[in-house]
Amino acid sequence: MTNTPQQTSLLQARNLSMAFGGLDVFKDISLDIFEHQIVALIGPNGAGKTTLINCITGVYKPTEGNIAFQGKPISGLRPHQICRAGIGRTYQIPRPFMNMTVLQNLQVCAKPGEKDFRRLLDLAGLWEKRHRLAKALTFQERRLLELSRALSVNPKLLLLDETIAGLNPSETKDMMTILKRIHSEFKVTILWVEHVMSAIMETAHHIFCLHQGALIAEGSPADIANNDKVIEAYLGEEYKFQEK
Amino acid sequence: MKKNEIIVAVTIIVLGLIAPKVLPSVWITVLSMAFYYAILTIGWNIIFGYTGLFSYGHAAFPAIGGYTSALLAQHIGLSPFLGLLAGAFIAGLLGIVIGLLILRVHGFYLCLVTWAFAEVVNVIITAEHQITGGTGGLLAPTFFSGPNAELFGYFMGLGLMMFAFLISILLYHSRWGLNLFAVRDDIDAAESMGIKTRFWKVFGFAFGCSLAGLAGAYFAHFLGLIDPGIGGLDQMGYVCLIVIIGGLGTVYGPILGSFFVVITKELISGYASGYSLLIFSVIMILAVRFLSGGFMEIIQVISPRLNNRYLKFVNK
Repeated sequence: MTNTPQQTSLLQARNLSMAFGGLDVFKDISLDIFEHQIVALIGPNGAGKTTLINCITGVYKPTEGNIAFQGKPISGLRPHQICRAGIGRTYQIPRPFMNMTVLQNLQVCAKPGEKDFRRLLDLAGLWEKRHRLAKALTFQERRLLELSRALSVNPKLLLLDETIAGLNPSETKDMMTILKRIHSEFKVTILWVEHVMSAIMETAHHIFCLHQGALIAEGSPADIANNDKVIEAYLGEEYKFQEK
Repeated sequence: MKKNEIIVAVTIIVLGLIAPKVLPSVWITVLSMAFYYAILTIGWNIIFGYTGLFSYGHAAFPAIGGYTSALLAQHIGLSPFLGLLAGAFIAGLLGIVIGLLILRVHGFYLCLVTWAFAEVVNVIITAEHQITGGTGGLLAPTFFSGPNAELFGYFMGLGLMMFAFLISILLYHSRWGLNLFAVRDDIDAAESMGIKTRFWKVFGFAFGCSLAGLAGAYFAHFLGLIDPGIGGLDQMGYVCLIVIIGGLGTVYGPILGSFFVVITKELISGYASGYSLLIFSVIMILAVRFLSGGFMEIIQVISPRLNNRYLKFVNK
């Protein structure tokens, strides 16, 4: 994919730190997410990726630093306020509302009066199953439901937490197609935490690499693949050979 | 409202109107108690079945509603009909206070906090005997007087139960209800999806409490007497039993369960009245083990099959 140079900053994090008790999860992170990009966040387990997402969505209050969304500060707001400001999210293990139907899952999140869920459910391939309970869906379907639920709040920025983890190759392929469609059709910016490098290299415009609570590299997929620090911390030596 | 629900509602009203004509007069009181339990448990169903808050102090709220109404009638001569509103209002208000207190507790701890509250209410009612009459109870004026007072009281209960039933159906199908379900299913995900979970938690709790207050006021003015037994722990046991064997989180469950429990209790009272709690405990254990959806689960499994048979029959 080509990197379209869009320079409007959608989300700005400045000197963000998060600590639980005396334990620093990450320290002094500053990053910008620009509009209309697919931004990937990679890093080894425990690097602080999910915690960063939780800080952005307001689940945790960062111990230091500010986050601004579309120029307005959002740190300190409640998660539902941040969601209404235009940030949607999904979870690593899908968490749809299990005892509600597929359609109800979207209705409850969308703005009152919103009626057209067909487009969202067609995208996820769940329109035919709209009256089923979410707990009757397969793992992948739950994930798709969660994705369309996140879109139903009409977000500007979508935070995805390991959306293709645990899917088989054909499911992964479908999911990638859907993600690309979400990006192009719904005009959302995506911040995507992921471990599957092939998927990231194919899709992302910009990559951040987090390691032991610090941002060690950022850049285009090609830059990241050849960055020595990233290779040492995360990708491994073999990756370099593969790419060449 | 859906077609099925209208049919069920009309059926209940028709049966309720016919019942006093065909049943012996002792059943008027029995069925009125079923109405009382139905209103009470519709409230608990909204708290636990819809919103997912396991309140173990639900029995305190009919006590609050009943005593409020009875005391207002005694001291300022408030009519029992307005007493229903006052009881529901005060119980709802206290529901908001307790709802705010339990915002930060979940699961088992929520159960303990609400239970403690119920015990406090019970102790206050028993101890403040100059005001509440203590264990001897408090007299309350009945809704009607004259030879048919009890029958009119019965119809009053039928009306109130249908009102509570209607409200719970409307809530079930509304956007408000969806918000409650989302809080029940996954409160963190709901919060992250833009739902004001704190508000809906308190709303669901206070709403259920308010219905319980209404039930309590009806109880007091139907029997003409209210005593601390109404808020006892055994009553809480009945509430759980009724909703669980009826069908938790369904609109019909509480009504189905109330009639089953109250009628069964009456039928066995002649032979083994002391054993009724034992029998109900066994039923509850069996229901939880084999039929976690209660009676509604049976109906949900059977009704599509019956429907298919019916369609086949019609098409022949």
